[in-house]
Amino acid sequence: MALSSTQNLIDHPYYEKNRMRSVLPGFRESWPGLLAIMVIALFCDLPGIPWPFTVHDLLAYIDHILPPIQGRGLFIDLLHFNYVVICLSVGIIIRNVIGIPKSWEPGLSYYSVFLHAGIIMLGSQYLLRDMVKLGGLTIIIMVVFVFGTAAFFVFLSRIFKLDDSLAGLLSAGFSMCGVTALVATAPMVRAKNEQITYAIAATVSFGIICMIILPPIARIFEITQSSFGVISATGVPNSAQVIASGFMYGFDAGKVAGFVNIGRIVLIPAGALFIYFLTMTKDVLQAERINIWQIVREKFPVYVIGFIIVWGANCLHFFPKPAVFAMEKVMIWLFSLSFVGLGLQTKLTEVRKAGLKGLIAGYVGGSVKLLLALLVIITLMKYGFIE
Amino acid sequence: MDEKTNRTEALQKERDKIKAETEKQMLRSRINDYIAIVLALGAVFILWLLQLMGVY
Repeated sequence: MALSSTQNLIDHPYYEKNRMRSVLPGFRESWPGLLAIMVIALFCDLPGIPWPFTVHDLLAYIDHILPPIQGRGLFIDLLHFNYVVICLSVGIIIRNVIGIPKSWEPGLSYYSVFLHAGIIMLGSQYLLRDMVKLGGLTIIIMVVFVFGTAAFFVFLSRIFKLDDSLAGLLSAGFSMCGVTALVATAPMVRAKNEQITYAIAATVSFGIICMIILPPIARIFEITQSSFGVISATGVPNSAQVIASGFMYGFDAGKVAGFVNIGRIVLIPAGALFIYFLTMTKDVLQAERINIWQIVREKFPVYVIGFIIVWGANCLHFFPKPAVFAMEKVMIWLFSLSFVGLGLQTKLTEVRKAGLKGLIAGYVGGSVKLLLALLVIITLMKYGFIE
Repeated sequence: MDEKTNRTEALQKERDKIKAETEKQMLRSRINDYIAIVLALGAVFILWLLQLMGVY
């Protein structure tokens, strides 16, 4: 009876509302961080908004003053400083060189809202024929990479003699979309708090390296925009970094990366279950009867539904061309805000915090996956299987 | 025996703490998703409406 009345209380809408309030910082705490993100993004360069001084203008001016290298400017033409690179670099520099006040932190935690809203609006840039163009092969590559990487990381963790929980976390972080997948898998593999922090540090730091080195490497191999989008979505761990590295390479690469990454996000519940069955011992599996449907429901990222709605509406030609063009602009604003927020949240000291053994295992596994993704996609591109 | 029970209890406490913490993070992530859906669909609707009204 007592249990039932407690359950009734928990299910009560008022309790649910309070529970939501306890995890979501209110506007009073969040506005400094949100305002900082907006002001910094404005100074970085938001398309369509006339602003007298932006970092992009400054770099273009420096390029104009400096003698050209092979007829091209250093920052804009050669180093490809577009809005993604500028927003991220400015955020990282402010965080790690100047430092940020504590009052910014609650607002900065909203950066994923902007990222997810941007991904939803990405649906307006895609038609059904774009998905057909990507083809079933891309879907197969992605599914194989998600489950293959998960299994490979569990195997690698055994070689490095890592704890099963940490193995599960690294496996989730590197095989699917980084931090979100890692947090979703944590309770299933019975991870400790410090292991979660450790795995997040390893995944995020590896993602940062990927984001920086992948576009220049791809330019050496003259990889097409579409193929780079697929490489980015299969090789880079975190969603934000997938989108960032894609747009660093080019607008079309960013679009493809975002689209393919949606498939990876959808696989979180299945991937988490797969890792659970791989890492837990037979005794645990027999003792615990898990509800698969409940896990799928709990772990499914609901913003994918928003993407499907916008994409579906675009496929049905609900939006005329000028509206699609305006949506592209708004999408870039949202991504700019999220990249500034991501940069402001990137602590470079996290790499040191992660320690050596797990970091090596993560980096070795992540590098193998990235190289394999590059190799597979370049081969398929050469033989004309993908564009 | 007591030591073993204490250790099991401590382990259980640690697990409960982690479960509560990850549940909190999952809830935050879910709320963020809802806000993102409202923000993006709202923006799409406004842009579509403005276009329909011939603003651009």
